Amino acid sequence: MKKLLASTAIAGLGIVLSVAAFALDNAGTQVDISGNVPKTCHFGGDPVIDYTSGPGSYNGTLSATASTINVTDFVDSATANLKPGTHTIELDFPNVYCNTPFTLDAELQHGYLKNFTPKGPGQFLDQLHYEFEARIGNSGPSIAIESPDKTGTQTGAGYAYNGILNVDFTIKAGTAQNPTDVPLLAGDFTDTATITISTVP
Amino acid sequence: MKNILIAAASAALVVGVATNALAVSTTGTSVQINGTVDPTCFFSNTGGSTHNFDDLTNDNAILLDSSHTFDLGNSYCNKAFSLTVTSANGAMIPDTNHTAVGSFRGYVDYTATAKIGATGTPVMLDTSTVGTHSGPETAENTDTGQAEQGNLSLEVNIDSGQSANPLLQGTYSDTISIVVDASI
Repeated sequence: MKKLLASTAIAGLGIVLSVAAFALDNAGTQVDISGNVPKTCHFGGDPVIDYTSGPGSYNGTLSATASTINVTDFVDSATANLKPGTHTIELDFPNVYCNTPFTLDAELQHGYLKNFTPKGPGQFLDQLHYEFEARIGNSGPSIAIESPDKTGTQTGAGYAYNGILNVDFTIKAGTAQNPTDVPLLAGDFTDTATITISTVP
Repeated sequence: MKNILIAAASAALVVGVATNALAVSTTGTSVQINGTVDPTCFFSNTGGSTHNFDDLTNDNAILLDSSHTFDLGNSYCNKAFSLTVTSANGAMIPDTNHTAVGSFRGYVDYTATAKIGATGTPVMLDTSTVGTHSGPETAENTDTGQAEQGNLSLEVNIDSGQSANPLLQGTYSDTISIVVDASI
């Protein structure tokens, strides 16, 4: 009887060893992480504004806020006539980006600079035609509008862009639309340009 | 009366000795039993887990701080072991491949810290320490120096300070593997 018990115990020990042999000395698992970056476009801040004129040199002065640009010496102070030449206001919007392909649109409220001051009899110039251009960087897509049009052809780029958006307003004086021999009506000449960059759906 | 009792007790002693002498003569063996406990590592969760951070950026595509801790269940190694954390991509990378003009970021670095139990030996993988983000990156503690048991945790942190540039649009992802090995 005692021998039988002993052999049973040995057999049991054998089973324990077998179980130990199946244990794994390593283990592993893995996790998946993910996150989304949505399509977006962004205007970074107020533009840097330059005013140039030519031919000739006008010591034009310019002051600006985010929404209003004031240019003096645009006009001959003695006659109130537009000075001849080409006057360009350039706005460089910094840090403009779309993180995916995008389109560029622009729309002018009037299509020309308009002075809404009431005028009586006589010939006064109360609107100024101009050329508008918005451009993505130096070689990116651009959109141009020439008075009296209000919209241009939508353009786009097949790439993401981060950089400067250039916007130019150019008034060419001495043309049929912008004569230099008609006095300008006193007051503000205004228009509003809306520039839109949008991600491609 | 006292004498009688003593005599009786002595007689009983004699009988007892005689009985014991009989047992020794019929048994004379012993057995030694032993067994081995092999090095073993165990994860209760081998199926892994997933986490979606949802939006990684603000509305302007600028990276935000994000964090998530995976609790992957009871785990142990019954002796000192090695612990390895591996990123499959070397960063979270997007499913898109946008061409870009200008400064954008097209990947998201993160740290992933794994440990077993509250006081386990942690291993932290920092995907930013290797400049590439196109293949596996690994951090390893080759010898924890001790057996450990407890919840297997993995803490993933995304630091917004890694880039001031906007991120390219896309769904960013990576797979992190955790391996323990007690065969060291």
